[in-house]
Amino acid sequence: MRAAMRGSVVAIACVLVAQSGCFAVEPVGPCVDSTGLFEAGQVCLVPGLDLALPGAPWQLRRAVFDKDGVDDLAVGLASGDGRTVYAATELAGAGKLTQVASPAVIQDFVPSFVYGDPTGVQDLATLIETDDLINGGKLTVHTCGDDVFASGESVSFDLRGKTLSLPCIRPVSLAAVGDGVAADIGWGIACDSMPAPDKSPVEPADIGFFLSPAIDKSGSFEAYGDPRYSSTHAVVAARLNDGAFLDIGFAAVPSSGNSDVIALTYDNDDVARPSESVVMPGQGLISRLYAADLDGDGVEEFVALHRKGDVITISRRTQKDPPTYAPLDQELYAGIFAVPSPLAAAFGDFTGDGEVDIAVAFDNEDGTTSVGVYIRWPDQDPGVFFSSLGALRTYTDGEAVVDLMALTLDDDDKPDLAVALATASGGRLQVFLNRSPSSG
Amino acid sequence: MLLWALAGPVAAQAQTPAESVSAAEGDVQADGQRLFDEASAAYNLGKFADAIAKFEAAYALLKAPSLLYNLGQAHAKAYEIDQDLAHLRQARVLFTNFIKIRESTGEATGDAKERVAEIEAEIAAKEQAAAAVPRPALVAPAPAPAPTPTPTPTRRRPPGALTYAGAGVLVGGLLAGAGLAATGFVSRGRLVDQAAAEGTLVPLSSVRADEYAAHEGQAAAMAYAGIGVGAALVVTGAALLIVDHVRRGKPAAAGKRARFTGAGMAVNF
Repeated sequence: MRAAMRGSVVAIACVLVAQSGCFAVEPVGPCVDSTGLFEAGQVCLVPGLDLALPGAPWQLRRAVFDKDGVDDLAVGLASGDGRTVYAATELAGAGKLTQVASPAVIQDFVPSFVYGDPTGVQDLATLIETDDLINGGKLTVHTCGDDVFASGESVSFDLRGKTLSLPCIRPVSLAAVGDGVAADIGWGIACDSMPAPDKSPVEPADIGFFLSPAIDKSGSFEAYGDPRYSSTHAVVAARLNDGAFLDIGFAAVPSSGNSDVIALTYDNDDVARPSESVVMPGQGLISRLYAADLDGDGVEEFVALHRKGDVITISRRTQKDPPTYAPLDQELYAGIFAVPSPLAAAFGDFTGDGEVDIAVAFDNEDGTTSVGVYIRWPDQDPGVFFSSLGALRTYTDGEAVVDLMALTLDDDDKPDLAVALATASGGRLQVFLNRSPSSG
Repeated sequence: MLLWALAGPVAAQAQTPAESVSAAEGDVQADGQRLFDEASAAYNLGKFADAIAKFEAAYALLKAPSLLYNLGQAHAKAYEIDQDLAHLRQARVLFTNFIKIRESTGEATGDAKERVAEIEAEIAAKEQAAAAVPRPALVAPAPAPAPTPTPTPTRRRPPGALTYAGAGVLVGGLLAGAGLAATGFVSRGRLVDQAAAEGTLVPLSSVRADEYAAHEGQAAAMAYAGIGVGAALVVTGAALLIVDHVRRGKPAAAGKRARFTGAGMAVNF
């Protein structure tokens, strides 16, 4: 009898051990290195390349400058009294910096398929401010061969002479417009304008430039302006409809108002003029404007950083025909996308759950800067953008975040993150490799 | 005092044959007298067993009826010490024989008859008390041809296989039920905590929530199943114990009851 009881107890214990194992839900994967951007069970971005830069960075752009299968970066650096642009390649390895543009007053730059490239290698367009008070900008394209900028070929597009009736005193923002793959048809250019000296004091027609049709090497292009806006200070190419080419959104100050609007120009317009504007509800000047398909519906949303408004706003298409955009309910999302002085944003599914997250950089009240990730909540319907800010990393000791860029540096289909930092000695480019658990 | 009152005749009677017998017979008388004295001394000291033995030895030599009285008295006194009814019954026999012998010779019987009556009353009272107690007891045979019917004393059988099986099932049920329930509830609690921690910053996805819910449900089901199975086993074990307890409490079957008779007494087990 005792033997039977002992056997029963052993059998029950075995069953219990086996059963208890069945009830364990596999924890989401641990982070191999939590010193990067880390949020338990959500975000695991581990430090990768840390590349010293020969100047203070001021902007990053994702690019493809070679055919190694991973993304590269165009890095804007301060250089003496001017600015220059470097190509940062081989970021999955030791990193390589190649100077692309000569020092100048470069206001913006964008990787661009200027001539179309079946290999997918992009050229680099730079927007330069000149001293000309009437026609004060020019566009320069640096072509890229199979080897990174080995050909050294450079084609310049001088805005002067093409803007005689549309004075652009100070070009500030540039976006390449094309099919988003291998051919660009032009650029959107945002200009700060002011009364032309010969027409003072009358406010001139203010402009968002759309260059069309396709550019050839001779540099011919057409430009349009729109008198409804007194200033445009940011531009982004976006996919807003089912057209073949990307569309454009301008952050602009309307002539009859003080709040920023996002002026939209669609690729199927007969005249490439802004045909719609999204009124931003009093959040202040848009310091940076992005476009990203946050909800996966095939139409990109506008994400605007309002540096002085301490908020990030999202505008989404609410009606297809005619296309209508509207910012999200500011009351509903007021506490969600509120970070102090947002500096930059980057977009990607950093958690691996299928939802596009938003990495943000922002100033803190104590003078430091931080990087974090607005982690999208799962299972949200299109148009719902609830998020939680996590995976925070704060930079101190004289380092300050300048820009962020999501990019792919390996073949795991997870977006990695590049952070440009201004340091006391210049700057550095810090790469974080995505090792998030992909919990689903 | 009672002994002395009766011992006198014994002693006198014991001296009478000593004067009229031969030298050999004188030795017997002397031995008998010595044994009588020793028995009397033992009696006075309350050593009734010794007194009984010495009185019996003296009677074997002297054949004096008075010694029967003294023997009866010694047995009666022994009964006062050990409450053994055998002494009382023996005393009754001795007193009765003493009366018969004396009456046959026309001699006085003293208070022997009163003593017999007292003893019989005492024996009857004791037997009645013993009959009321349901436990093994010595039962004296009734003087009548048919023995007086007495309640049959019972004796529990030792725990059987059912008891052990019941205890095993009961303990096993407790262990299994408590183990399964504890494991289930602890597992569910752990899963709840894990899910809460995982969903602190960002709510769980539906897939993940379903995964947790499924495992929590399984854990709870095991806990409740453990409680149910454990309770069933405990009830079963208890039932087995009760059944065996009841069966053990019944009188043993006739074929298995032992009955020993002889020497004027019967013992039932």
